Amino acid sequence: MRGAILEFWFSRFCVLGLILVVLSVCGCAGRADIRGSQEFFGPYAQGDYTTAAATFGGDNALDYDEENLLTSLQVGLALRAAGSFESSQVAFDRAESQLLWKSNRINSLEDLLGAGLTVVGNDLMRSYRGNIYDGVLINTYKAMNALHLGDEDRARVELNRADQRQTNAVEQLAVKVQALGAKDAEETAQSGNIDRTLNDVMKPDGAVAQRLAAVEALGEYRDLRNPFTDWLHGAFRLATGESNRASDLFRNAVALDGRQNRHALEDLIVAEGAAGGMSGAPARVWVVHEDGIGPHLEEFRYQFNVITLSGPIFSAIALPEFVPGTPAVGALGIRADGVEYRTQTLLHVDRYAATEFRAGYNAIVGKAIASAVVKTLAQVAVNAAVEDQGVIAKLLGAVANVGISASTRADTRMWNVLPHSIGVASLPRPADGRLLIAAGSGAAVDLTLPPTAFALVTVKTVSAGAPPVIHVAAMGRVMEQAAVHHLEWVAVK
Amino acid sequence: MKSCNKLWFFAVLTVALGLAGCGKTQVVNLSDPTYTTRQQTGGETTFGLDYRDFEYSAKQAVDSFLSSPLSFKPGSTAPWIMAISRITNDTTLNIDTDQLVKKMRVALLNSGRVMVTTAVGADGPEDAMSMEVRQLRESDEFNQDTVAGRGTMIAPDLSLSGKIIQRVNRVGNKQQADYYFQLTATNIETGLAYWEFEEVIAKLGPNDDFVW
Repeated sequence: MRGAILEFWFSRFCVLGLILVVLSVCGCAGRADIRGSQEFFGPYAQGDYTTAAATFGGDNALDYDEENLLTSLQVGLALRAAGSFESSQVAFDRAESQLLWKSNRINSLEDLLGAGLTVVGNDLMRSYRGNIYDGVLINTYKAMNALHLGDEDRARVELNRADQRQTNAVEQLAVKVQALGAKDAEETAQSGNIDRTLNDVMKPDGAVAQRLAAVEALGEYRDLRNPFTDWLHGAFRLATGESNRASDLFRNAVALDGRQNRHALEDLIVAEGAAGGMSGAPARVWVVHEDGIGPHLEEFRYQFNVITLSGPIFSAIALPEFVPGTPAVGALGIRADGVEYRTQTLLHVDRYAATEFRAGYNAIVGKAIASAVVKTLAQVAVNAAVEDQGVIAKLLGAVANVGISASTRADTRMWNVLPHSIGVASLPRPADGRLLIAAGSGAAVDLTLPPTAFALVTVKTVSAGAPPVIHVAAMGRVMEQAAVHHLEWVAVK
Repeated sequence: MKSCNKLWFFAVLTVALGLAGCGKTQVVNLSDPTYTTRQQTGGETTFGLDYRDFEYSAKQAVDSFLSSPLSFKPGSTAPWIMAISRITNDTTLNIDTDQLVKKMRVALLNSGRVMVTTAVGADGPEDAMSMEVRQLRESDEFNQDTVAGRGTMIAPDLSLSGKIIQRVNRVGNKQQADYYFQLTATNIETGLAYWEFEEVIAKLGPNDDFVW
């Protein structure tokens, strides 16, 4: 009887191990993504966005695998920062086409991850499927790109999509967490051992729980709804004369932000005034400041004992560890009509990403432990089986062990070049149409606004040493054709 | 009135729930049951707007306008001159609102009661040639008798504006996308809305994907 069981485990896991070895040797999708992102990150962090995009897509930045979501996200953001808005739209369109999944379609972990591997597989063997908040930010960035291109119609569509994604996010997150927690047959069979190990790993003073507490300390955005997207949508509606809608959206942003950002509060007051008046909203300038580099994931290995028939066996799991992002210069200083303003943070990207990461983390830990327990039990069985076998069987057993061990890797892929924070400022349009913008201790930029009633100024400071990039979009009542100014960082003498 | 509203609600709910049992996307027209049971020609129904939706809405709009006594220009046998103002696409779909407007223009022109000017529009003239050819007045190369004279263009007296709005709601494990086609003709002389139109088309189907 024992021999039959051992034979069963041996044959099953030799095959599985060989498959895993082949997949590892071939270079699975996840590792290629991680390598690609590492090459991309260097120039991006220095503010060389064109070179960063070229690491994926060559000279025109778009010559890469169109179905690779993570690449499209990274390239889309780099091209936007470089001022190549049309190309950025192409990259984000590609990304969005990979993110069309909504909620009811996700009925299982396999549906979520898009492949049919079992618990002993590895998420890195699957293509990156993205996060719910990725979808919201894709449409938000596409809307800003459209505004910079003077395409108000497209901006409206993108903001409507972002709004739909925000509305759907809470339900989608619940389904995602449920799918991540779904158990397959092998997990169910070993549930006693898995639950015991899980309780041990998750004890409050343990390394995993401490990391989880650090993520929880970042706070969360209720219903996974980000205030910046609502605020931007509100600004757009105000500029297009839809004050009632603008007022609702600004109110959402203010509530989500906890009334911290006084610029958003000011916009709410302006929108309510315009909604109740006859003359429309007074001319305004909005400054959006993307600062620093957002959170990323690192691999964290945790060792523990699995109880087997032969006694406790040392095993390990690899988990993603959430690493908060780093700011660059903090707030921007703005001078207009002799009045000083400062941007205030409206979206903490760490908190936004952590909200989704935290929601699914218990399930990810549970899945990793289940995988480790099943694999450890299998390895014990395989080792016992090959003891009395020939050289080839021992060789196969060794290969299987290597394959199974190699599959213990954490999926650390994420859109890791988002800003650390997005701050905003809202001010009356200066009479002379000029703004002076200063970032950190650097020199200020003297900016001439387009001759329209409203303007959106976007400033990106990726690191303290990298030159900030500024773009201006004309909005609302157009007195002249919308124009985009891509400014170099020029010291004011 | 209240009980009438309730009846409407239950009627719509019954249709909606009946259709929810089907796996495909269905069209539900709240004011015209014949459209709900339209022939499935030209491919599957999608959550987006297809040519049938534009054709139907345009026809309803034109019928509405022509059935109004105001479709005849007061005190004149001449047709109204209409300028096309902004028709806003306020949906999640990348659609061209000309798909709606063009069909209306054809029908209105054929009615003999309305002509559309292409020389004036919300974003500038639809056809800039009317003004361009007037630059030829200085040219010796052109027979000046064939060049349009001064004061010959006709200014619009009506302006057509509108919006296509989309609202998406969940109905059980289905989703319903409602499209509101809203149009207004403004008398330019008085600034008063001369004619108003609204048509709602709802699409009910699975909740798997976003509607775009």
